[in-house]
Amino acid sequence: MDELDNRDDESSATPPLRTDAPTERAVPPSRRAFLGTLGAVAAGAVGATAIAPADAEAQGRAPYGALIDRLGQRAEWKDIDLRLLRRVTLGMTASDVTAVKALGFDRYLAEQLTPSSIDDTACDTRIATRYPQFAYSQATLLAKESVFWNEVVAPVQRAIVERGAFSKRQLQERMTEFWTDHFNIANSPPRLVDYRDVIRQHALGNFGDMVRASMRSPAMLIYLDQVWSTKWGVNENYARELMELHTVGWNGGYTQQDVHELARVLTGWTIDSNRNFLYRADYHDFGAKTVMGVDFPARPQAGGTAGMDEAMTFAEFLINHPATARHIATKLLRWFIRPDPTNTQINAVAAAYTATGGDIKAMLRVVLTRNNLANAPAKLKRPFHYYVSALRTTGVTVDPWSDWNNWEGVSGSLWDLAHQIFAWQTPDGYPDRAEYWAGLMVNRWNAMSSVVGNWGQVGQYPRFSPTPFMQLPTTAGVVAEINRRMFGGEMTMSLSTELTRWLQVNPTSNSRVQQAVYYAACSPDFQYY
Amino acid sequence: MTDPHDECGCQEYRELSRRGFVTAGLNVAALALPSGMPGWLPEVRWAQSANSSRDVIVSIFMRGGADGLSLVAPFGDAAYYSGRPTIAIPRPDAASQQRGIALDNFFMLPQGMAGLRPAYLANQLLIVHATGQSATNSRSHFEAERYLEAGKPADYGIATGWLARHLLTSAPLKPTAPLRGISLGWGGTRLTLTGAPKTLPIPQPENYRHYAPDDSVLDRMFAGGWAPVRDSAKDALRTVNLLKAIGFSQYVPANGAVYPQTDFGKGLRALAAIIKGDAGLEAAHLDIGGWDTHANQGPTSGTMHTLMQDFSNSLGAFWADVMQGAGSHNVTVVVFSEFGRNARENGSQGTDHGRASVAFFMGQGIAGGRVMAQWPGLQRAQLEDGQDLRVTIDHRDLLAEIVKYRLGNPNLTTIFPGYVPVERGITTTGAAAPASALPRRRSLLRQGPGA
Repeated sequence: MDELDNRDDESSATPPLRTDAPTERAVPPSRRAFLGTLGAVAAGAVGATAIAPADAEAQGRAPYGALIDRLGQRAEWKDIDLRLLRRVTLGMTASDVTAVKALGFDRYLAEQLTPSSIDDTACDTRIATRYPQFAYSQATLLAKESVFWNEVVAPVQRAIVERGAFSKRQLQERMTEFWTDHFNIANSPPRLVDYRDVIRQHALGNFGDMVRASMRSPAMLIYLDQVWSTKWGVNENYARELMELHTVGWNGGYTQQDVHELARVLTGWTIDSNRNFLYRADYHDFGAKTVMGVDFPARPQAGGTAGMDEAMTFAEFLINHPATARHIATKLLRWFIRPDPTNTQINAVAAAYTATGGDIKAMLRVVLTRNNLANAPAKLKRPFHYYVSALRTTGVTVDPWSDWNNWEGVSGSLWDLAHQIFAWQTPDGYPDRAEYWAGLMVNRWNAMSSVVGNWGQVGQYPRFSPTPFMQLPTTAGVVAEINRRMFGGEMTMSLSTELTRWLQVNPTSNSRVQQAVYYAACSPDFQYY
Repeated sequence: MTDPHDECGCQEYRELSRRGFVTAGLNVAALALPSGMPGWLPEVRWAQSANSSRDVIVSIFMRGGADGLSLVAPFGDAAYYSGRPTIAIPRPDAASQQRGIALDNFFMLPQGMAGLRPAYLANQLLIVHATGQSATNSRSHFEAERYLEAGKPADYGIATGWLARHLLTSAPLKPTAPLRGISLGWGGTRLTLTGAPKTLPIPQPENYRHYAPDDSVLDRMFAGGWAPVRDSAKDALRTVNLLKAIGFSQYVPANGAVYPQTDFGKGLRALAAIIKGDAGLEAAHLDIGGWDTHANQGPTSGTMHTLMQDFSNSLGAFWADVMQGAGSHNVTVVVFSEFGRNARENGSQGTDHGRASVAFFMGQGIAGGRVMAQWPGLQRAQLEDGQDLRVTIDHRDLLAEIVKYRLGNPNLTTIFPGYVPVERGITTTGAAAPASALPRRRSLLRQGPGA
């Protein structure tokens, strides 16, 4: 039970902050009533429940979901504009706050949904200059295969971290991360082409276009063994994941027989010797097939692109399937809003998918509403997000990647955090669950040491300077500056108390200030968004 | 209470769901209620708690698809030699220095595995051959590893490991222990232990630390906030102090055991110190990689020979140090690989991805000193797809028996969902335990193979 007693920052050290802040919808019954009831349960009483499951279902969510509203809410997060910033950025900076306040919620979101409307020349130039590997053609990538790790992967990982940290098109980065996991592929030279031309290209575009591009992506077809699947020997791997992970979802209503039949439909979708997409009619099974009730009658064997239309037809069936709309809607809501979206929320986003034929922006407008954000429980940052948010908000300088020895400081932290880019090996992508990542607290703290621990030495680690935090070199001044730069002014009282305690020993000491920033980055406040 | 595929990422949700489940009519008084209990678990019966004699389990994964036909070679099957003209282990009665060490009149260990012989002779090492995953024939490393570690094949909805679910359905051995499970090695918790309560990924226990100038600041900051981060942070801080208190550098292994100076050897050595420290550790997982021997396999003197020496000498040292003699601790070791390799060698003196392999079980409660096998044979017609050793015993049969009899946990339907395990008699305590603790081995060893 003790985990409930001091559940949030309303504990003794903190002045009471009301959870019924104006930005939240009231969710009955009161928090106090919940705690009282649960306390009784732990003591062994049987009978009273905190909230009747039937009531919860009537509210359109799984039992006890309502309780998360209370337990997972940040009472301090009152400003709805900042709630938007937390979810669409990889770390809310002081200049992000300035931008959203200047533009307002709606215009800020509209801009982020149209990345081309945001001038990102500085970041584009930075990436193009520092990391030409990011733009390598497939032919160049293949030529580098023997030195792939040193000369391509390491700098590209670094480029992705820096783009996440320094691009103004933050929502595009968040969506790129989302789709990278949705269409996950383990590392390979063509994988980088997929990341650029399939994932980034369509991250805020049309979902159907992304599926169609992915189906022709050599990296995907190699990774899921589609290239070896022929009428003489069918491999079901890609067929299964195309349905289970990419479109209709594991409960999308298909059977093992459907997987096998779809694998037959897909025979012939392969690559050539340069690992470019190629359809080979001589590999294709022209026999009769039925997939999820869609009939493909037997046809005479032919050449050219004969038979290729079958998979294209079935792809449209999958893209337009209501289960796909719900699957994508649910995942987007989990990514941006909450782990247990309600049926009402899912239906609304799925309706936007159906109405627009899979327009991702249209779905995001329904996901990122004031109502949804106001009721969104705090979410644990995944390690990439956590690390990048520290780079963004602590004002560190990130020197260019230069050689292998320079790899450790930035990308090496992601390895230690078990979230290295392109390193998840199975097709489902890195998990987005708090309990998966929560065990890595020491690793997270140590990553913060590597972000703010290097005082000005040029090289592999980011370079930190305490000076920007000391414009007003008093305890209150430094705490206020940390609050402004790292927390949008909504730092919890308990963190403020702790930093005050640390700084008041000597607020003009550079190392005390550096340590205060480290503690702020390690704090529970900074783990969530 | 809900579908195990529920992707809810919220620990609070689960804790609360579980409470909802409790209030729905079970006898609460009969249950301990550890936190971290997933809400979807059906009808859990708690495993024996505190003061029980259940074992500490050490799970070892040989990553890469270890070649069971080299690790424990079937010299009694003529097709073994015809299929592997350049990489077979010489028969135990051969003149070669590289000849095998007979285990019975059919199987032998290569010289690289000699480090495991003492445990075998003490009847505390059981080898199970032609075992693996019966429900999937995936030859993808990552899929096969994932299915084995999850304890359920072909299901990406299962996000926790089988050993994690054991801990989730067991009361802690020591209620105050900060560290019930440890996942050794870099790169985060292995799936086997993902989702387990009070379980941390610790690359090197002797170097586990943070850099906070004053850890009481972290301690106070994480007194509040939400599970699971709050709990994990508190456990991590206590674990850092716990491990600091264990003198790893001064640790002297018992019985003259010498651990190799390898990652695997050092990991087992650190683990021995933690187990003997009696800190309440219940489960450990560690990997030994490098078994993907597509070319120049070298099981008699090359790459695989060296790797097997590391494996067997490290594990042999752990056995001598921790599991043998008067002061021994109750420990069970289980060793698996994701799959075996082709029965016949390829054109590069190596072997490609196959199906069945071997598994090893070590402990005082293991009915060891023998090779358990329903040998399917290596003739082409006997092989799966004409190329691979068939899986005759599902790995879950073996793990379930360990869980039930050595870890005292009856919740097998939670730990291995959708599977009804068959008891194979691999423990001395199980219902199917062999009548005699001493199988055929001794007389056969005296006779020698082919005698």
